[in-house]
Amino acid sequence: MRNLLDFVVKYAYFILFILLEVLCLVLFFSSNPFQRYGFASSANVVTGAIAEKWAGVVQYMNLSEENEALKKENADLRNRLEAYRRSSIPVLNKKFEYIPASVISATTNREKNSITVNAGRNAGMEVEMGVIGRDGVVGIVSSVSDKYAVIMPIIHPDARISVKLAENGYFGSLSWDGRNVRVATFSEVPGYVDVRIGDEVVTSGFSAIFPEGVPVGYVKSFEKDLSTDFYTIDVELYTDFHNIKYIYAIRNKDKTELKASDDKAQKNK
Amino acid sequence: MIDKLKYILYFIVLLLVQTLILDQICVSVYVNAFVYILFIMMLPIETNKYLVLLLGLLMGLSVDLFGSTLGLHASAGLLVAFVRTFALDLYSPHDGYESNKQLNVRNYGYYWFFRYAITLILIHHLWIFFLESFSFANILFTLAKVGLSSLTSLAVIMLFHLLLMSRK
Repeated sequence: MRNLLDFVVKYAYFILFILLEVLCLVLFFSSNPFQRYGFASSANVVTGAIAEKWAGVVQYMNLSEENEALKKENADLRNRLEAYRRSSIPVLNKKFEYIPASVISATTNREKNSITVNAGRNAGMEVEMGVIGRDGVVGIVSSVSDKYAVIMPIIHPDARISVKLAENGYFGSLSWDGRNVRVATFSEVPGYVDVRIGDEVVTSGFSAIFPEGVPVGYVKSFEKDLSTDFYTIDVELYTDFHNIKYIYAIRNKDKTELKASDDKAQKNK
Repeated sequence: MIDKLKYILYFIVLLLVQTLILDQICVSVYVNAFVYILFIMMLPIETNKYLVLLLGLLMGLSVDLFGSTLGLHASAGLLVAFVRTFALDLYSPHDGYESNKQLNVRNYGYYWFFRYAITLILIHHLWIFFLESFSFANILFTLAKVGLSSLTSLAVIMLFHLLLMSRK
C-alpha cells in the first residue's frame, strides 16, 4: 500500500495526464456525429451566438455580392415556376418543405468538416434533414439546438448520400476521401453502364432525406475496377463549400407523419 | 493580478482568432493553421504544471466547441501542455529561466523560441492529423498535411507572439 502511494505521488503528473487524455479520446471516438442535442457541438448557445455576431460583421462586407446571387436565384426560380404554369401539370402534393438559414461558421479544409447555421429547433430544423444550397446538395443536419444547427457537409468522411446518374438512373453512393473540397467519389455503379464525362449526377430520392433529382455535380473522370467490375467515378461538386452563405434544410412531411404514426403505434402497444 | 488578466486576454484573443478567423479561411486541405497552442507556449515559466495541463485541456475543449470536433483539440491541447514541461527543460538556456521574465523572443532569443515552438507545433500537428484520419493508410498525404500546416502555423504563431508579447 505504501509503495502504491509512493508511486502515485511520484508519477501524479503523468497519471493525471494519461487519465485526462483517455477521457478526451473516449469523447472523441464515442461522439456520434448525429446528436439530438447540440450543446456539445458548435450549435450550443455560447459559441453559436459568438459565431453569429461575427458572421454578421463579416457578411456585412459582402452584402451586395450576396444580394446579386440571391437575385439570380430568384429569377431562375421564377423562370422555372413559369414553365410549370405553362405545362399545366397539376401541382403535386407538397411533400417537401424548405427551411432557410444563413451560414455563421464553416470549416472546409479539415478532414471532418462542419457548417453551423443560424436556424435550429425553433425554426423546425431536425437531425438528419437533407440540406441544399443555391447550386446543389450541401449535406445533412447532424445536430440541433434551439437556435442553431450543425450540418455535416458531403465533404465529411461519415457523410453518405444516395445519388444517381441523371441520364440513365443508375444509382450508387457518394462519399468523400478528404483530398479535394470540389471532388467526391460516386461508387457502386456497375461496369456495363455507359458513363460519360460531363454526365450530371443528382440525388436518387431513395433515402427520403432529399427529393429526387437535386443536382449534386457532374462526372469529372471515371475508372473501372477490373476485379469487381464497378466504376469509381469522380464527381465535381456544384456546391462551392469555400463560398457558402445560405442554405435550405428540407423537411420531408411524409417522413414526419410516418414517424408520428410510428410513435403512436408504439404508445398503443 | 494584472498579469493574470493579461493571460486571460491571451486566451480569449487566441481562441477567437483560431475559431472565427483561421478555421474559416480555406486555402487548401494541406494548409491548416493552429495558433491556439501559443497560449500554452506563453504561460509563465512558474505556472504550476498541473494548472498548465488543465489550461491546455480547457483551451482545446473551447476550440472543439466552436468547431464541433469534441475531443480532438482537447486531447491535443492537453498533449501540448504535457510536452511543454519537457520542451522547456530540453531547451533551457545556460543560466536557466528567470521567473519574472516572460517566455518570449526578447528575453530568450529567436533561436530558442523557434526550437521550442516548432517542437510543440510538430507534436500537436502529428497528433491532430493522425487522430483525425485515424489510419496510416494515407500516411504520405497526412505527413504532407503535417509538414505544410506546421510551416503555416509557425508563421502565424510567430506573428501573434510578436503582437502579444509584453513590451518590457
